Amino acid sequence: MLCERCGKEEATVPVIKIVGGEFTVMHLCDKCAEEATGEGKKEMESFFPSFPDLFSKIFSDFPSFHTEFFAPFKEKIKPPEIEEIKCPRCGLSYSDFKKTFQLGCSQCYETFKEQLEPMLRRIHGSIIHKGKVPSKVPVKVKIPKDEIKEMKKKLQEAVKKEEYEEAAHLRDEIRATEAKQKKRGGG
Amino acid sequence: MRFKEMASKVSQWLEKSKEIVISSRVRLARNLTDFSFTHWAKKEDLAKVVEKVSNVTKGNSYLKNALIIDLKELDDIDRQFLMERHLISREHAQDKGKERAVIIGDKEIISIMVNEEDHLRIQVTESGLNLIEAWRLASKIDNELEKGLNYAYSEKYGYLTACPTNTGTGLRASVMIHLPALVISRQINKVLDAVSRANMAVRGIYGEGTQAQGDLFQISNEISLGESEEEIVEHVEKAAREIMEYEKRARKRLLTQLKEEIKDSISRAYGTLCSAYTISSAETLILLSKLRLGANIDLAKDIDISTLNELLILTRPAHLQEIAGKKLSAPERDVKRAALIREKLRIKT
Repeated sequence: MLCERCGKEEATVPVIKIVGGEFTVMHLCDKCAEEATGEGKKEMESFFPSFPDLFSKIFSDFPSFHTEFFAPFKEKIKPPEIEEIKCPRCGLSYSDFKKTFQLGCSQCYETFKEQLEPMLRRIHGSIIHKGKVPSKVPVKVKIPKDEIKEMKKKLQEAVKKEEYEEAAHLRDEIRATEAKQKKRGGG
Repeated sequence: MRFKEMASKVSQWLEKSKEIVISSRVRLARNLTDFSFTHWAKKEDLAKVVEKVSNVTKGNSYLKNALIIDLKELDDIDRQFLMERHLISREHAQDKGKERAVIIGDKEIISIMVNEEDHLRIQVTESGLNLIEAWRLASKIDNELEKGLNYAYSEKYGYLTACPTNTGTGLRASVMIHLPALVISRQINKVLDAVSRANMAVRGIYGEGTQAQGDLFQISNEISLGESEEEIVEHVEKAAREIMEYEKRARKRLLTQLKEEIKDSISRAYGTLCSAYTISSAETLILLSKLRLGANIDLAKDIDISTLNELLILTRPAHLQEIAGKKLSAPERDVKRAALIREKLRIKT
């Protein structure tokens, strides 16, 4: 097979990409693959900008694996009191979470929602579950309309501030949430 | 030590495996909403989780005759033995004395770790590239378990897990894949780079943080939220199929360009394995990889792949010690290992 990029050399490397949820494979020659890799890196960088300086100040005592996930929401890092927030149910504090990268109980997802959502988005590219629903969850459980309202408000703010990447995320989430409600007969 | 009988045979999924993709594994992470997550829970609560899950398991139609094993009762070698068979993770094998269990189904296709990072880790392993079947079976087991347990689940985020990297579906779909020709032709890094860029993880055969040995790699999804289970499984399968094609092409190229060298290397591997008096675990994996490649590309026609599969597991340190029924030092194991290999290769080939 010939390289799908230059069409001259033999394709030796599969370059796999997921763009907007679409999975594509390009068969490239060595040279094109290398170039594509460079491009890929640039794309990733602009997509997930890193803020090493600010970040290192905030989480200087942190192992690198964790820092990677905490990095993107450094802008949202609130004054020191964030560290002190404790889950009312299990007592885990935000600083406990940062040490182990493990939450304490299911309630923690509510308690640390503000911090967790940007992190989940950073890790998974989404914060809305699309998969299996346990049969015990009532079919008509609704996502409170307030939440969609809140998301729409955030969307407007993001557009105002010209944060288009964030806006695009929010738009997708609103759509996914609305679609989910429709599917479940809620809304 | 209590697994002498089990140690003489390999799991069913491995016995039958002859392809580039050796096995497909699906893992579902689940937690009970009434308890703190494992690392944060009190000891007595963890004991309750073990009890609850064990009781529910007994009524599960996919887990009839399942072994329920309390890890506290096992010695270090037993726990390592279960890890070598991929029935428990490396993490689950560590931390002696914690309230932990593993439930092992018939033929070792199903295993459920209790109180690993999450309260339940339901695992299903199939031979070859067969993630879809593994996912279907895991989901059916999950459906039955769910009737007796209250899972931590959120309408918005899906299944709630201790670590945010598993939130949503709680699914990890992984394949164990043998890529000797890509390694020999030095293309492996490019392929694995491409895999990582597609939001997939590459690991060694014993999971997180382990090295790739014997040209064996594990490819799995990184994303568990925002995609359905079917989509995730499909992506990993698709990636595995692509990699497999590249491996096949690399094998063809080796056969046309380096046939004599490859043949020589495979024959030497066979010679060493058949005649060594003492051999390390690492060398064994390297040589077995060559023989497997030879068997796959018809350069070692007499070699039976099921014998190689057997040797892949039975020559591991804890397996050798279970078979011997006693603790062995590293040099003692190397002698036992060499003897076992000679015996298996001579009798079966």
